[in-house]
Amino acid sequence: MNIDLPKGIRAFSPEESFQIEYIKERIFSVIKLWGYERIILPQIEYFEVHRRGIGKELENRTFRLIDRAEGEIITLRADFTAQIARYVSSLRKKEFPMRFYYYGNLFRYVPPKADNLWERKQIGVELIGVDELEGDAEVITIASKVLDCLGIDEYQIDINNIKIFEGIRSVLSLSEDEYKKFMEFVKHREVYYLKEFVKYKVNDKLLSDFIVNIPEIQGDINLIRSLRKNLEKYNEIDQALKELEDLFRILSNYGISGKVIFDLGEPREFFYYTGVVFEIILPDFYKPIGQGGRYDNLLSQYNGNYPATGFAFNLINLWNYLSQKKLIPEKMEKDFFIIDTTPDKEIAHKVADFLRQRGYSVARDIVERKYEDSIKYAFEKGFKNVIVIGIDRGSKDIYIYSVGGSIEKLPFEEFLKKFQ
Amino acid sequence: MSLITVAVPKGRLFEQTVDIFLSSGILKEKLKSESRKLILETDGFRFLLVRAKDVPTYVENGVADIGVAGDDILLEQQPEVYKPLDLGIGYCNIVVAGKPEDREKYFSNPSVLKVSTKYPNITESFFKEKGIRVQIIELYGSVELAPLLGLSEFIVDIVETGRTLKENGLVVIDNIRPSTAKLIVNRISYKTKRNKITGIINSIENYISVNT
Repeated sequence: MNIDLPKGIRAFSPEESFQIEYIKERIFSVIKLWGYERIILPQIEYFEVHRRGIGKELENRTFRLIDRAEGEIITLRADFTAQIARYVSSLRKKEFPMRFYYYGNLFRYVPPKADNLWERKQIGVELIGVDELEGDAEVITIASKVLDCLGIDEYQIDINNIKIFEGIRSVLSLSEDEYKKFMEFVKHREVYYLKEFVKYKVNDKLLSDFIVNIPEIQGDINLIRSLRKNLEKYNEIDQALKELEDLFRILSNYGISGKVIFDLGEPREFFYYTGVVFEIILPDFYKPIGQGGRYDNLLSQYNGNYPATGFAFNLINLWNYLSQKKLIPEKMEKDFFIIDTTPDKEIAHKVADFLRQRGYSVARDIVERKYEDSIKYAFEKGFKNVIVIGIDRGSKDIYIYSVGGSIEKLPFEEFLKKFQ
Repeated sequence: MSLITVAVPKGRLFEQTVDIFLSSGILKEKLKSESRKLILETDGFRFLLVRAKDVPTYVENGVADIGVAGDDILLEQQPEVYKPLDLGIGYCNIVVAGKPEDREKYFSNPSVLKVSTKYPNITESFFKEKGIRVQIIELYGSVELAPLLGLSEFIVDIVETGRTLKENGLVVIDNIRPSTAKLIVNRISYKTKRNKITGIINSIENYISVNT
């Protein structure tokens, strides 16, 4: 009998689920401090509608179904940002800025090798209706504060500006095909192909040096400043670099500029990014944790034209890292486990009710077995205290076994007084 | 100081890679690969001796920071890695080959071709662009046998000198592209071990540009 799950899907044990929920709640608590509102979006959309916001590459990786009544193709959610763009476009009354945060599953096909999953859990924010750099700085800072809150000290925020590539495209008047090729070279940091690419296209040595070296341009703000001196006369490129300088100033106000690295050789994968983009990098961890950026044209794929920026964390990857580094508790702690060896269990029910009313988490044993075995079970499950009733025949004394190994014996009335 | 882990295919490419590392001054002492050890350590480097096909896997997953892999393997597997340097070694051609008498068939608007290969993805995308349907038979070695036994008319494979083809009575029918070995780098290592890795890239680049 087959009782397996499909390949790109997995379940999580209660301990794992607890950790994932724990991380999610911590992240929510940080995001809420910035005045963002939770938004709940559907798991399914019309394919025709969703595709406009996700781009060709992702479109081919969606999980599609047929709506029985209408015969329309519908798809499982492949991207939250596209959904939010659709949602905002559908609003009659738009008051900006809008600040949303979301959490949920999305589905993207990947070859189900190793630990590749079709189902991802994402948590993110979107800031809509702001084209000022303060908006970009805000989402980057939130991402940074989230990592601080999760106890991650060592991380870097790699920042780039897509407008630099747009600038090069217009300076060299590249065709659609040429630009695509160019971006592929950049993406894989293929310096040798870039050299050939500029050979016939660029006369100015300063510009061709800049383009060929893009894959190697990584560094702090001084690097951006020195690049601007060389590229002054190319207004679009210079403006894009200036944006990075201005952004850096705001990030310094927020106290996170020490985490910032500019990496001009990193174009983001998503087609909808238009400006400042960033990615969170953790040393010694080789999966993507979180990324974000500006997507000023995405809403125009639906209706209207509004600037926007945001980011998302890959919650499963983040959980992998945090549990590997033991930065989160291993299991949920619970307060009391109650064992009652008397036939009518009256005291057990009264004590349990009494404790729950006072906010303690309490579970009953119920299963019939030796109370020593029940105690062992309870400590393994993460209960901090175990209450045993009826050890001394005929007496109402309550024994409390605690995690540290201590045992306390209290008469019933004394017990109530203690936890009053 | 953190080690830099390098995944290199066993065999000739390993010798050539170590030579480049020595000549460009990155390595101080000679490494020997005679023993059966799969991990060799020296001068702040750790070399992993692996199968050529597996190099991208080690680098993509970050157990190696850098690696050496041919275009044939990179095109076939499309790993998410950076490829900042053409090492100019391991030169070969990716070709379509077959029996001389099948050359005509190949160029006469065939609607379907049968091709045996170790490179199903390269084969598929090459013929896709030509609008020719191919039926691909995946083999892992001795691909030259396929046309001789009638398993398929054609093969897609890499050719260095052409000797193996010749000895089996096969000829090159079409060129797909040349292939050389590239230095590949893990994305995260490129960012977090920036100074060291760009140092390595620059030294090798200098050495190569002086010597070619």
